[in-house]
Amino acid sequence: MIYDVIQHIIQSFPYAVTEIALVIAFLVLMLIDMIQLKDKALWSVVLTVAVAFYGAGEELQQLFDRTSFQEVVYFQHLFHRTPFTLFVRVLILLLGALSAVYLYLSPMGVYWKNRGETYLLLLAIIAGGLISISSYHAMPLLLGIELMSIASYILVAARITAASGEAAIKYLLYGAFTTAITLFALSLLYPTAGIHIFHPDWATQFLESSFPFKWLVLTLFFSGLLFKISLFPFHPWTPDVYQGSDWSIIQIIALLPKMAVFPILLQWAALFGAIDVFVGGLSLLVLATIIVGNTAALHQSNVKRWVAWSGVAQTGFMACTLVMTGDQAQLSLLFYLIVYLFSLPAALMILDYFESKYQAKEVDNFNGLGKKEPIGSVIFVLSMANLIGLPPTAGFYSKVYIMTTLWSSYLEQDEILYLILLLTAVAATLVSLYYYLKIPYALFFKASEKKTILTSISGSTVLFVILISILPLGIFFQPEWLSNWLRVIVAFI
Amino acid sequence: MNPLQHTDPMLLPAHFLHSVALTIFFLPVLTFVILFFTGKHISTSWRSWLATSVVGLMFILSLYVHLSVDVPIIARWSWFSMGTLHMTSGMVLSSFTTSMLVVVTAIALMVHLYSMEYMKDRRNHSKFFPYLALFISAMIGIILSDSLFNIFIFWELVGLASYLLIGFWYQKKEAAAAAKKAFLYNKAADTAFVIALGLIFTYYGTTELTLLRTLISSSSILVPTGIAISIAVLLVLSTFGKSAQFPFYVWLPDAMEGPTPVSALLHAATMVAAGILVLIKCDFLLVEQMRWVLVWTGAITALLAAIQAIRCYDSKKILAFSTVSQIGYMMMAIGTGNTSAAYFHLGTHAFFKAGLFLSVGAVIHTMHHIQQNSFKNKIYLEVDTLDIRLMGGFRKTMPIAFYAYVACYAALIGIPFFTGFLSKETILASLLQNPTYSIPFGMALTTVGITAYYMTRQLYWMFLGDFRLAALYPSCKEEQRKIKENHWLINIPLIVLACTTLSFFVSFHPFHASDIHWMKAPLPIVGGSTSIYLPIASISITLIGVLLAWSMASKEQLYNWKQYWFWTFVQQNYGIEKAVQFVFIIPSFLIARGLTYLDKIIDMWVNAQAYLAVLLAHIVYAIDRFLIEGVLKGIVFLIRIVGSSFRSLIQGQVQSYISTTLIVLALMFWWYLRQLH
Repeated sequence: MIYDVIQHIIQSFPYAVTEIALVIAFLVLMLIDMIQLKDKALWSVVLTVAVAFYGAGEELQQLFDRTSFQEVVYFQHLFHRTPFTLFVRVLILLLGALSAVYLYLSPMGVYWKNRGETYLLLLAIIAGGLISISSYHAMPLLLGIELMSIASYILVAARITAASGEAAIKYLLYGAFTTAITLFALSLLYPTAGIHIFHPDWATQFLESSFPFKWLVLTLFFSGLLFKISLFPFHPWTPDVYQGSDWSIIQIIALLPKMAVFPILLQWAALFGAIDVFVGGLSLLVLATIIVGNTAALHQSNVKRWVAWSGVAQTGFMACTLVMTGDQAQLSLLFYLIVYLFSLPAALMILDYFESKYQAKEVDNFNGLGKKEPIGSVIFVLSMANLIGLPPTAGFYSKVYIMTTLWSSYLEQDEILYLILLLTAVAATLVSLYYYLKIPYALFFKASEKKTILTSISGSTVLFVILISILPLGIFFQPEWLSNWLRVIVAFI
Repeated sequence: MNPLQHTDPMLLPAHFLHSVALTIFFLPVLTFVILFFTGKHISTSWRSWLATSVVGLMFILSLYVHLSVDVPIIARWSWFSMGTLHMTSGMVLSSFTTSMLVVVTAIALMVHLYSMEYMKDRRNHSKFFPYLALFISAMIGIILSDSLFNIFIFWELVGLASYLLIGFWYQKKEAAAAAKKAFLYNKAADTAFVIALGLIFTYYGTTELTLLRTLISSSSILVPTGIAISIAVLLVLSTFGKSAQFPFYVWLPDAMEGPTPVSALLHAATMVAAGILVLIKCDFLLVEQMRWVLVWTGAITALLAAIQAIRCYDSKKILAFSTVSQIGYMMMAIGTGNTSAAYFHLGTHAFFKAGLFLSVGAVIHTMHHIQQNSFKNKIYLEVDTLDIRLMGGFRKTMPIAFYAYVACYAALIGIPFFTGFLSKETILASLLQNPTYSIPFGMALTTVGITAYYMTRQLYWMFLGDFRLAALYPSCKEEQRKIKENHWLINIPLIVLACTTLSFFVSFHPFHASDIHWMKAPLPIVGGSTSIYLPIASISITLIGVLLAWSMASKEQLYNWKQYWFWTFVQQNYGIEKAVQFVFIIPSFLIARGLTYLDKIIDMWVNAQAYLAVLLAHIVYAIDRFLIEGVLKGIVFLIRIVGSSFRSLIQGQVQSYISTTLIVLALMFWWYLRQLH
């Protein structure tokens, strides 16, 4: 008996080879941090990127293996592996590598890139994402989420200034609050249907359960996840935490959790998408997120708060797909996620650069800088177009996919909620036009306050930004390239 | 019949000789590219030697191709496809096209050698050889192409190159005007080519000449007679432009503003020859009615141009008129159906006309030097160096130029044992064979006499007697003593070209053109003189002309002679330009003016509408301002209130975060309860 268990555990290790590699990298990084190395930052980032690429390679190898078509449950029913989880793990690792490169190149991030714990915590967040997307059971899911959260709290706090301390403590308190709710909900869920939440039988058990408040319990259980993606009503921390953090940290806490948590929610949406109560409840939250995010972003003058609120608005758009079923909805979510998360660093990097060079923290500080920084400003306009969803960027297709899916869902199921969501999304896109173009307008159409000589963005920054911008531009001209690929993946959800 | 059909021509593989011919075509293109873009970065002598050696290579290759070709070989390859339309381009190598290739490259080589010295210190030198290369390659394109469409492209390129070269010294007002005039007259005629091309493509479905020839000879496609006539008329009209026929020929005398080597090339081998060449190639498209027109136009042109040369004092313009007149002979030959005679005359004319231009150019070069040298001595001679009234006496000082001139002169006026005699006889004979052409024949014979007259006059004034410039300006006496033969680069082409005017150069029989040895026409030459009286008549008319000129020339009043209205009329190109002014330009301006008035009326109407629109706009603005904008502002106000309420709810306090979340969760709880019941 014991022997079998041990055998099973040993057989499970090959599936966790990426996590093991991350742990080893974690230890090596700790050593590097302890000994005074000359190019510590470079060594750390190279190691982080290397381990991320190694992991991504491993996952891809498994993904392209024929045997991966079958679901594998390992580590005593705690984790599972499907082509979908493999694909998302690859994306998380790639995004982690991108974050590491960002950390190294960030103009404002001199403080961060020379501190070893930044990379340690980044690795922890990546590991948390991997654990949570692979989990088969509620406990590892919770652990993974907590790993991400706690690492994020420390990252926000690590600057040790009054602002960062305040942001971190708010973040921690609110995060603890949501975790508490999640744990409480888990205790209620346990007698209802058990907590092997991704087990095929779990959904049937849950639906057959006679517990009257089971849907509310599920919502409460989600609160920990919704907190990570800052969906209404778990969004209020976002602007304050962003405002208290540096851009290097914002890009980590804004991108990586979304990459991990949205696919998890997508798996549930695939299970419950046809249930009225689930769709109804979630739709209300999504609707509120879109409205709150867009209206609040309208009047932000602080750039970081504006980024935070626009992030909430984008979450609302992405979450629209969670209330629908079908491959098309899942495809649009993955498409949106990939385009959004892999192109947002470009915009953040430019804002980062402007802050380091011109102390541009408020929208007014950008006045007239377009003529001084032509390359950066033009690329910034491009990434704003991507966020709004204007051609010639892939963001256009992201929005088109979501809106057409909403419309076809409305036509198929005749559910008025979809129409309301669609109309709200269209209106919100129009509103977003205003706040996304606020900084480009200031860049190009307002007169400069200060006189500075014409300079141009530094080489490595511009290279990073341009390389990232290739993705949305390229996908705009060939969206089938990505969507055909995703169509294969979503078949395995 | 169904127009807009498309015949897919069969593709034919290329022979080795085709690649050699393509090399000949692309060598000047390469020269053009290299020289045009290196420009002034390489020295004048390098530039000249490069261009000249390339032409020399072309000449050798052309000789090789000509000697290798036996039966006509055609290559045809796909050019481009648009839908179901497949355009091909073809190259035909026959002894006819390759002999023309030899003529063109030989003359080009002579002109290049000559230009090396002649153009050495002239302004804008860096552009001269590239333009010349462009000119030659375009002409070679016309010679070799089998597709009328391709021919049209090269035809236009020839026009462009001639424009650039005629206006080569564009700083001179006359040169710029002459280039513009040549270009416009040519374009007017080229319009006809475009229409003809469209008609041919529509009704025959192809522009490949070989294919067209078989289609027409086998009568497999029946085209309405009107269309066939239109095609012939348009083709002939377009060649009238390029080959300078009445009434389009007025551009050619003005084109003498270009450098003399350019004139030699333009008159001998490239520009004016292009029209004749295309007519020879498209001979099968000419309908009977058109042949009649050709003979008459040719005769009229020959006579009119010859008359104009009689009272001309510009040494180059005399030659220009003689070219127009000789091309008239070629037109007549084509009209009688004897295209071989036309081609034969084209070939012989090319050599002796190039020789004439270059020898006259040698004299002009000397005159130019005299002017320049006296300018260096601070004496500015405001004289026209081309004016024959100021020349004279060059026989002794420049014997090579003189004897070269005399040889070419003899060929032009048709002295036996010279090439011109042979080719002119052939044309006159073929005119004589058709009794309906007795009047054109008479005009042609008259022209022979007039040609002899004006050429002898030019010979007399240019080379014999005293140097009249020195008589007018005593300061030039010093310079007169210094006159000597030109550089060997100028003299070698003169000697070579003088040799080519001897009749054995083309035919071993001195009186009959039946055994031409290398200048192969598309068909064997028919005719020659059928009766012994024709050569006797033409020779005696020539002699009368020469004698008359000799006796008149010494008596001719050079200045202040009485101007009869007839000569004024002749000197104004028989009023052709005035007719163009009256028939085309003034009516166009009248129409334009009328349209301007119409436009003003329309403007008033439009303005009235605009005022109305503005009035309406004010009303709409009022509505917009107070009604719609009010609503919009209301919405914005609402959104602002909503947004700020959200923001103020959670203004940075973690307690408020949690309370917000809890309130929402409570609301959801309430919502679930409602769902349950």
